[in-house]
Amino acid sequence: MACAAHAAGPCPAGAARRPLSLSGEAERQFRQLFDAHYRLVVAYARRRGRTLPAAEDIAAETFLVAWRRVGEVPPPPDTVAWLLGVARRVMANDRRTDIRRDKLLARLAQLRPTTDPSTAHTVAATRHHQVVLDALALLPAAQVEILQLAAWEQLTHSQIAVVLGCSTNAVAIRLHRARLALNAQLMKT
Amino acid sequence: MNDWPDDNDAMEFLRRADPVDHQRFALPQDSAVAQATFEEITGTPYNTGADPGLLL
Repeated sequence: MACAAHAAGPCPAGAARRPLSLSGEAERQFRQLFDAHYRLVVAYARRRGRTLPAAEDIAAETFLVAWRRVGEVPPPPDTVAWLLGVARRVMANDRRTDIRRDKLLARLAQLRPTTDPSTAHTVAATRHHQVVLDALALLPAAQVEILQLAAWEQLTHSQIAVVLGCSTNAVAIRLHRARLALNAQLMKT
Repeated sequence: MNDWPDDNDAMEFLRRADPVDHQRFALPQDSAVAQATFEEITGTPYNTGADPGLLL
């Protein structure tokens, strides 16, 4: 695992891999955090076009930051948003996954919803899903990101604000515009 | 494609079109990768946090 502390600021060279000792209470807190949210962080990276191994690396770096900053992790409902904000910065800084935006969006368009044919999903619904993904891939990256956070991570405006580091009002405005843009794109298809 | 009455419907289809179901991923207690990650970060074995009663 490479130095992950870049997501939280500079760290002393060589210190990134050395486990940091925490108190018993802090360690219990981290274990609960890890058990409850590891899958969500992996899924967050997978939804943004990362392979499973790359997503697991991003989760590892995210939780390394959480380990080092466990005292700063907010209580629910902002816990997940805080972790995803770290994961977002890890992904932005990760040179190994420095893939051009259009390539990522092309992969996004190729993703298929996890439709279970044994459920009530219909062929028409699946077609609609793909139409939505195709339309999403044509939007600006910032609009894609906020729509994904709202629809896929199902975060509230205030949680999205934590992830993106902006105000709740800004989220409301940006999300409204993004929804209009998605709808407009759908109308064109 | 012109049967999208309003943006709420588009968001609902987007939600349903989620390409990743995180519930399908292994929980840390069932994932060797997750446990190795935990151990590398903390320097302690993942299973040390298990309920002692479960280990008997």
